[in-house]
Amino acid sequence: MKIRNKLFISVIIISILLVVLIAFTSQGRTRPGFVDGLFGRIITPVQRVFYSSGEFFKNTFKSLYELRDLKTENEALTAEVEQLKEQNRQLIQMALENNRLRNLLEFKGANTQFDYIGASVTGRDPGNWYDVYTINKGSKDGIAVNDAVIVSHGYLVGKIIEVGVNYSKIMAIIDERSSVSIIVNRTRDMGIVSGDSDSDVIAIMELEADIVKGDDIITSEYSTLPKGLYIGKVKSVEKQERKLQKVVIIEPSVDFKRLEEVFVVKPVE
Amino acid sequence: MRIVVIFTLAVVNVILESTLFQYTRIYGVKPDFSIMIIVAYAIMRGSSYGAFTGLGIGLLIDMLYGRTIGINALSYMITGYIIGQAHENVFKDSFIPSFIFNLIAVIIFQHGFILLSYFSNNFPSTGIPYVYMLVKIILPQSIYNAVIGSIVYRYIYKLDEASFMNRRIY
Repeated sequence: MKIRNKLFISVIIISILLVVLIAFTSQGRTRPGFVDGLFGRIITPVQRVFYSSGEFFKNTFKSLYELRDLKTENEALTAEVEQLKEQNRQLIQMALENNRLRNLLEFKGANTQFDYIGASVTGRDPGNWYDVYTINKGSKDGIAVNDAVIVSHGYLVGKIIEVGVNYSKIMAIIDERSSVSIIVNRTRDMGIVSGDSDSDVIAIMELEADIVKGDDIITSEYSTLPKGLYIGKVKSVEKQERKLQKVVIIEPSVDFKRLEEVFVVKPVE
Repeated sequence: MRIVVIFTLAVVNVILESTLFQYTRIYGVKPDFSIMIIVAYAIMRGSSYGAFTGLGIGLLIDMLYGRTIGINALSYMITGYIIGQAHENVFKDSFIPSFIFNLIAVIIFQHGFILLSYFSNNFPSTGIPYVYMLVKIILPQSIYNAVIGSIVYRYIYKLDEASFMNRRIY
């Protein structure tokens, strides 16, 4: 009991001291006293370590927590990426188409002697031998047999060989059955080109014809096709002395593997 | 030795409370780990230990964070003293006393703290309704403290029972 009283009395005394301390410091301190200043100086670096480690733990747990949502987020983002890719593909296609049509338009502006009928390629002969394409325009659009078919820049594709009401067939110049009268643009030497088993065309010319690699080949006026349509560049020339002829291999400017929009041209009457 | 251990515990606690234990906040309410230590010693060792542990921890907090020195010290000391009165009448190896006395201790401490802050002009002049403080801060904290405190009590109890505690180092 005695020790209790002693404790009680000391608690009361300390309380009074603390109240006095509170009263003295209640206006707030701007500078620490000697003891608390020293204590603060020692303890602050330690606190910094713990505080920054606390930040570390906080961030770690936060990222663990976020892991849960990551899967759904990932799925959503993947779907979005697919969608955007598809859109991008479409846009690139449209840009390329736009480019092709613009080229065609330039050619059209420069060559007003023709009527132009735009058409889309709808199919290609599935066999390996012939190069026949179908397009989605026919006699009701004014297409007739032997009309020339071109792509942008005025490159010659071939000619119409059959006309339906709403479709037509084109025989490409690379078809082995096709033959087109041509002229060498530089020297005006004439010849006839026909298709090859490759995607090139071959011209048989006189031995004296002045033709070298790189010459431009265009249609001549003796052709059923309009004159001056561009076919391609000479790839190689081979002299056949005994047959008194030159075999000229021409690389067409048209990309026959990627034929999409074509124009049927007719001379203006 | 026991004094040294308690002092070390107090310093480490103050450091951790101001840093790592800030992350134990739930809806802005942080359990008071100082009270857990004070209650543990008050139950195990009586009012003298409770009061002086409270005084020590309170002074440390006041010096480091208080504007007015003594508010925390006085509140903690009185809390420790009052809880220590029950020392002779409870089972020390059960968690139930620590649960109940943590609950009570937080309420005593917070009221002491609020009153002293009020009288020493440390309270926000705008004023917070008492019911708001009670329902939003004091009662949640006392429950939180009681739950965590009864866990912490087991470890402090084991530490206090350890044989090196009674060794004299001076």
